[in-house]
Amino acid sequence: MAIYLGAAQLDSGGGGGGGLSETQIFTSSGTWTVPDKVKDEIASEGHAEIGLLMVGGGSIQTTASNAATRAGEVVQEYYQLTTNDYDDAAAATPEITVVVGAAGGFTGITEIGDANAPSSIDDITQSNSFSDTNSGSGVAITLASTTQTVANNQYMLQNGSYKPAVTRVRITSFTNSVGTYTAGPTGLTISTSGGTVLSNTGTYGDKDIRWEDDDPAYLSYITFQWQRFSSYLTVTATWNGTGWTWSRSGGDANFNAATASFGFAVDYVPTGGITSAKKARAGTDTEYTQFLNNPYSRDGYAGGYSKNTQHGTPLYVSESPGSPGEGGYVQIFF
Amino acid sequence: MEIALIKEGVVVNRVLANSVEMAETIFPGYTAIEDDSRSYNIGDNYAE
Repeated sequence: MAIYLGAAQLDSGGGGGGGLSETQIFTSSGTWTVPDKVKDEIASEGHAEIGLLMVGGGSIQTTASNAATRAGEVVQEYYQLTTNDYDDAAAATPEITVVVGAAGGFTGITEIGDANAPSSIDDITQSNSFSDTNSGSGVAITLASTTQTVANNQYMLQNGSYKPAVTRVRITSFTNSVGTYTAGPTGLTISTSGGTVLSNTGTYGDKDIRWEDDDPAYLSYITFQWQRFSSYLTVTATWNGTGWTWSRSGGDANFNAATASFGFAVDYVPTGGITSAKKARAGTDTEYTQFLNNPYSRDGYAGGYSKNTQHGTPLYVSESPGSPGEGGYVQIFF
Repeated sequence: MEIALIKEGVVVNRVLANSVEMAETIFPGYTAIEDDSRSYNIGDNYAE
């Protein structure tokens, strides 16, 4: 029987040649030893085209009709495999790590970055505070002069040989104790250069800015801004090469703040980390609306993967990979 | 077996693996804990 990836026939079916006649299935995480024919094609042409069918883990929840009960993402596509995808590009027998997400986890094949890039995921947390001694003459702020360095931060913030990989900025410890603080869309701004904002929920309520994993931001400074009537008080954290320094501007007598504390955390995923070159997201992923498959589909996709039977009637639990409560799946065609 | 992969105190993914030891072999540099009870989500803190 012919094997299709979307509308494209993967196997040659005995006619035409050039198809992807072999396949390997992963139902749990493991290592794919790159077959000789793929390795040889990469060596001679620079890349080899493989087919990927990847299914992210379904939502952890299996509560009937719960809005968060979603199926995992289904990704079907051709992929040009190169030595950059090898776990060790110099290995005589190259291998590629295959991630099969459990419920609530993403599935993918792991991207391998530059050997000099950091190999771990770090969180950076910075915090500061100020006190306002307002007596009608404007806000006075005392900023701690602390700087903080983190491992591999040069790589993270360097817009040079190594691609920085800031994927999310979370605002933490952003208290509402500025007495007359007016929340609103201008209450908080984060300034960066580079990167494509995947979602920007940087209002006071959510305090979360996210970028595409493959297109991270080059983060150099973060600005917190409070608004009171028409006046703004701005506090900026700037990277100076070894740590963050803080400064403030603006503010006037309208600010009648007591004491506020604020801070931020930066999530970054270095290129050598667990970020996958090709990924099928979990049903719990907040960007589920970007899935090409409907995570609420009761029929599932590509033969029933990510079947969601938690909505409507009859209700029953599907054991298909990617369904709510179920793990993911990876199939490689080569 | 469902595994929570942890890096620097944060759950970075939930994966299927045959065993905790296998997961730590596949994902060197990460701490793997059994999580069949689904106690952890991505982004949760975990005290290593």
